[in-house]
Amino acid sequence: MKKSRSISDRMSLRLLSATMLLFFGCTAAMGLIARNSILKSSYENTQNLLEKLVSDIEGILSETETAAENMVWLAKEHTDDPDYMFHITREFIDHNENIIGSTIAFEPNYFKNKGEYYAPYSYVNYDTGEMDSFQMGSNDYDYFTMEWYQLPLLLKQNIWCEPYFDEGGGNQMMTTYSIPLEDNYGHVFAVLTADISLMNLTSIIENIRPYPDSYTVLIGRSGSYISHPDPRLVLNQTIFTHAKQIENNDLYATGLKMVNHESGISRLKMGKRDTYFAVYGALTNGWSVGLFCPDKEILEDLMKMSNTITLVAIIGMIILFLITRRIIRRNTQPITEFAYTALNIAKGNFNVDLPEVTTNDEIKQLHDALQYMLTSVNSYIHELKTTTASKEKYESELYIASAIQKQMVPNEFPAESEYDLFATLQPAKEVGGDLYDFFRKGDYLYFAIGDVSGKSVPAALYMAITRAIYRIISNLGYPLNETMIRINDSISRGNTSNMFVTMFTGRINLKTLEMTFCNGGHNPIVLIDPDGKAELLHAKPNIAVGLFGGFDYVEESVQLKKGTRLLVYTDGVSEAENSANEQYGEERLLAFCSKEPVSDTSQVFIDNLLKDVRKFTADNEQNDDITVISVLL
Amino acid sequence: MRRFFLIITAVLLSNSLLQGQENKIIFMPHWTPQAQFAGYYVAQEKGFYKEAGIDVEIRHIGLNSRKNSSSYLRSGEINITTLHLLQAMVNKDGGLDIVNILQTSQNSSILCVAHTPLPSFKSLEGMKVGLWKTGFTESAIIAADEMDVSYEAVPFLNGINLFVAKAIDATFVTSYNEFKHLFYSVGNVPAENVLRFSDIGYNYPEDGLYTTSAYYNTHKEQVDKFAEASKRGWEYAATHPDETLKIIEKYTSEANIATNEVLQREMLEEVLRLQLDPATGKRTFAPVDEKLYNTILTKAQNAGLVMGDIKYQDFIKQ
Repeated sequence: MKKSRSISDRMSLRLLSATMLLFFGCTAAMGLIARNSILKSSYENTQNLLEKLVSDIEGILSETETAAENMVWLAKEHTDDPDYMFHITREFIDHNENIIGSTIAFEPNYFKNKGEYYAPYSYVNYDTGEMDSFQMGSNDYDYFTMEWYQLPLLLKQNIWCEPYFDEGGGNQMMTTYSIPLEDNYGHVFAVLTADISLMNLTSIIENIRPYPDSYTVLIGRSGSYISHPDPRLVLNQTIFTHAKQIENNDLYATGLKMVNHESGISRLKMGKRDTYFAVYGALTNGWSVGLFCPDKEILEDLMKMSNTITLVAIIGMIILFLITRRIIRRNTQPITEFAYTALNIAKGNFNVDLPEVTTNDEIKQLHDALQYMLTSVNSYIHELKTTTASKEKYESELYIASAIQKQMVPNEFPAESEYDLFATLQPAKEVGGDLYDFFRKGDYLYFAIGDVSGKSVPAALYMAITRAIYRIISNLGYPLNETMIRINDSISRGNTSNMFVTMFTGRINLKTLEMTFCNGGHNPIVLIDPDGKAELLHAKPNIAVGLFGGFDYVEESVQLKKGTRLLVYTDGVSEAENSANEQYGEERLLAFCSKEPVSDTSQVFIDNLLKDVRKFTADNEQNDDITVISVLL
Repeated sequence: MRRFFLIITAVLLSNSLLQGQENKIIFMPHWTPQAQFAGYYVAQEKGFYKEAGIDVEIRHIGLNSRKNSSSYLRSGEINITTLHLLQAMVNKDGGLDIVNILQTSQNSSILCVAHTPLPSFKSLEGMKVGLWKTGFTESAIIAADEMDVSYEAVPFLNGINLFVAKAIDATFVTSYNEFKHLFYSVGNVPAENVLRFSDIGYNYPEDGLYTTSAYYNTHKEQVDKFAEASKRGWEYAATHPDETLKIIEKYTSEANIATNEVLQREMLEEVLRLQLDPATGKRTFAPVDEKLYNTILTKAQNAGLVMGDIKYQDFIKQ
């Protein structure tokens, strides 16, 4: 089951969520702006640094370039003296401390007496510090296919060669600046070189570290690393093989820009999480320098600040939550109390005291409304109690009346050899206005059925009176019409309520089976002969009993046969209605009587008749008292 | 008595030394250490040569030297070397009596790469084209002869720097070495600037093992063992590339070769691909087909690379 939360908790949480969302949204936006600003500033600083570095490297290289170019005229001047070339190279090295080796390598067989190869070479012996010289061209050192020789020859321009690692020269990285020497006809006849160590240059590069984990790389025309913080990569890897090895497409793309001598900034993803930016620029000799800086370090302060802000914000949010909850709780406390009060009321306790409200707001309105409701409910309950008590009393009395009424009509049906009689009275309410009676006196069977106008208690009282008067008067032995006259006179006298009774009285001579009867405004009874033929017994019209006194009732007689059945009933049977407001009617009644076996006992006959009526009315409520008497002779 | 024992000992010792000398083979690949020769390094390092009962010493040429491995073979300083088929034929014609004892490559690795599109070989007309000073481009010479193309040949020692510096218009490269270097130096070369010899009717087999006829005749058993163990080395390299790369790295480090695993791995993969029979796609080490051999010979003769006749049976001893 979902745990219910108080309004204060819910409101505080919602407020907190909205505040957090707003706060962190603003912080993120601010962070992004700050980040971009810091990065931009960092880009600019690093670019300035790179420009200075490029300028420094160019300075070192141009020193060598100038020195070498100054030697060109000297070499050209002494082409008639091949051995003088040794002197030139030695002097060149002597006067330039950066230069550690130099040669003037001539085209094949340039000097007839010097053979195919002639390349006087001087260099500083790394071990002794002395200068040594020798002619280095030979079958074992075929300089004609060396890059330092071929490039200036083919391009007819001064060029820096790709660096190489010189094992014999003190295990250091070197590079060569080559100048083609042309004769007066523009033919290149020799190449003058200046070897320099790259140690100074690489140490300058390695020292450029704007951030502790940033690094600088120098790559050659072919993308080879000339300088890289990882010495294993230097000259062994190009920036592209490195990118492939570490599976870094960003590095590959940056490498492409660098070998294409572009300048600019690239962003790179290094490893799983680190991002770098690289600022790169080209050197005039075709090399390229790149400064790689990790965002992490540049943004370290921002990250620290951001973390602090987040921590402070979280603490602030918790405090805000507690304060907000307290304020809301205080303001909504009456609602909580009202909730408890309402629960008490719901449990039936209507005498609770409502919480006190000192404010004049919605809570006060709630209090007043609840107070009004409570007063109304209490008043209603009081009324209800009184009414219920009265009703209970009334119902109890009515129940007693019903029992008494049931006792007013004969409920025992003595077994007689001459006839089989059964009767039933089913009031529509607790008490009803129908009545029946029968008794035997000598050879005569007296019976009567009546239906008081109206229903319920007044009709019941009227029925009780009528039944009592009938029993008294009919016992006096008057003819039936006289009996009816007397009953009518008795009832109509002082009948201020204008109530009346339709009444059918009969007397059967059990010996002769002659039936005398008098019908005071009642339904015609049904006679079913022993063959099962049923018909209504229409009598001479008499008024209903009790309307006014002095009416002269007329009696009639009919001869019955053994096996004839008399069915005497009130209009509760013939006028029983179904949901379509159709009445059961006399036709259905006669049809039933014709269809029902003549041998049925009176009780079975009545039971089946009432079932037939109920079947017809179905769910429709019984709207009138039903009384039936069956006499089978 | 003592003299007798001394004589016996001396005889036994000299016999055993002689026996050792007999089984000693000095092998020199035709280039500096790289994955192109992986099978031989593997056979040596995994002891396949030793298991075959031969004692192999692997030497390498000096990079700056004009002296190539054929020269060493000629002078008798080494016993077995690797050569391209055409290179070997030219050598044989030039008087170096050598025989082919194993053919590893079954395809041409030669490509021509230019700064401008190369729709055909004729596009090289008048260009400055780089080629190895040590050979390997005999098929290019045949193609130039057959198609009557003349270009300015610029012999280079090694690498791609002349091309990258745009000192030359085009250059011949191998698919396993310089072409890979090029990719990892300047990025992708446009496909239209590349011409593959295998696509223009010159898919000639290349690397094979060679020894002198004299050595072959006197050491047939050892030579055959060397060839068999070398095949085993190549098979092992094909199925154990990572281990093979470590072995290659040992050789390149010892020779101070500036290279890296990425390039060597790609080279190994390409060399192994070139060993597959173009018809079956299987590594068969099959000797050069006689008909193809004769075609190549005729073309070489027409181009003036080979003057005399080199009988298939005298040359292919596999």
